[in-house]
Amino acid sequence: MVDDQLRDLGKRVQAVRARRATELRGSGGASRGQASGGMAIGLRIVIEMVAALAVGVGGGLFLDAEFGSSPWCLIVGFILGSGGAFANVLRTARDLDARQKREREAAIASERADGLDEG
Amino acid sequence: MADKDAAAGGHGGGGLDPLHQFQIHSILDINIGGYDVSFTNSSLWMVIAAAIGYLLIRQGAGAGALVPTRMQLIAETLYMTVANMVRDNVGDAGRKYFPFIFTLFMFLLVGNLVGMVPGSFTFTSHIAVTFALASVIFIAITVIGLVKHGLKFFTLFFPHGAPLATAPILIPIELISYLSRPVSLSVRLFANMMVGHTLLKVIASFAIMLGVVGGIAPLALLVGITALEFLVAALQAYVFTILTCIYLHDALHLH
Amino acid sequence: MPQFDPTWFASQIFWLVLVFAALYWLMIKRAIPRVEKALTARSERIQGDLDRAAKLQQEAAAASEAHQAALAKAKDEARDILRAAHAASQAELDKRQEQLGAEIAKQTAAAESRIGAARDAAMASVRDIAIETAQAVTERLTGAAVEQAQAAKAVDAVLERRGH
Repeated sequence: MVDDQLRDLGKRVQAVRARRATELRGSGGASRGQASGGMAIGLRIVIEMVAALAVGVGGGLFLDAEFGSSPWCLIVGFILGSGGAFANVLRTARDLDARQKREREAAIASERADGLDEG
Repeated sequence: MADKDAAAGGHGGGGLDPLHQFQIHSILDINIGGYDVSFTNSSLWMVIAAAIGYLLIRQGAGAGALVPTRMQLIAETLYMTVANMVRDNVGDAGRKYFPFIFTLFMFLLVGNLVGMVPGSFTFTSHIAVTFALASVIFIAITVIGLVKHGLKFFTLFFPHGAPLATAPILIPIELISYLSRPVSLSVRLFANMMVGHTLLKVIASFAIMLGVVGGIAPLALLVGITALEFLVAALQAYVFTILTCIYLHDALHLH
Repeated sequence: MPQFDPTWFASQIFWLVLVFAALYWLMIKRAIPRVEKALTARSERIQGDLDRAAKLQQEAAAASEAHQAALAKAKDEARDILRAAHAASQAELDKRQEQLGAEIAKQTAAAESRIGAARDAAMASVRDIAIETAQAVTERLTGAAVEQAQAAKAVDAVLERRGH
């Protein structure tokens, strides 16, 4: 019947508009290309650790050279750098966790949207 | 890839040296105020990467057709990728910084990819370049945060809810962690690009040394790793850009 | 490692800043506005088409509804007219039938009264004839003249006996 066709068309138009609105608002499914393999995560964490340690040790060496306080600033810098490395690793882990959770939620949401679309 | 050329053509004595591909040489000697700022092979490939990146977007968008052409689709996909990245990681406040982040992404992406061309030079495999880039971004983001939040910006260095007594330990640690951002950002890009290219070179050397028969296995491996390196080239540009977005978000919203 | 040779640091940073700045300038002046224009145009077009489709769909649905309502109303009206016509013709028929019935009844009544009168007249004349006949017969048979009253009495008695 013409009426059924019209109602069907209306539903389809509404579905497309709704999907478009969510697309414009932002999918939340960002960072799809983000490396999540074991190697990539390992490398990322190692670099975060080394970077913090390097900043601590480098800062310590610089201050020692500046004030002639060798090796005290180096020691303090090393300890703080280790702490920074630890903080970086924690932050990276939390980041990866949050990202994974968000991706899972986005996947579920998009699945649900697809289901609605077909239904 | 550059390595095979070097090996076959024998650039001086560095034929099989895996690090020879990273050698910078001057093309045009320039000296400004006592600093050697010669136009080098690195500079040349920066210019080439920038030109390709610019033309890709400009020519791609040139048609501006309602139904995109193939080139237009590439340009628009790149644009949307970065636009979504900025929106999802920085929020609406990041819209202002989109042109910079997009330029950054295109420069690194094309720079990494042209580095895969045999005989070319990968400027992102040099720590001086990546560190300069990361430092500029780091300083700019810190300034943006300071201007936006004033002294409140320094609450970034103290975790929420931690006991006040731990401040003398936590603040230096957080400060070091914050200062390590440009280091990790630049080292990640530099290390990835350098390790990949060196690996390719070493395996290519194996393939050449083992000859026609024995070299087949290393050659197959070389093909596989080359494909992987293309992926890494794109991925590292993406990671560098997305971390920039995350740091910008921190500075704008203070967690 | 050539990466840590400071000879080229200045050159690398100098050219990086120069090339990056040039690329940035070109991007914001030329490339990005173009992409943005195309994307905005497409987005607006799609949104406009979608909005228009939704509006047209609603209009079509409304028109269909109006059409259905008009159809239903026309059907109702037709039924009413039919029912009214039916009722009118029925009333006419009833009236005519009633008239006819009354006419027939009247005529029947008239005929009955006429018949009754005729019968009464006939009956009366039968009595008279019977009396005269009785007188005449009695006179012929007996030779004696019978009083008319007496004959009438006898006839009446016979008629009475016959159930009249």
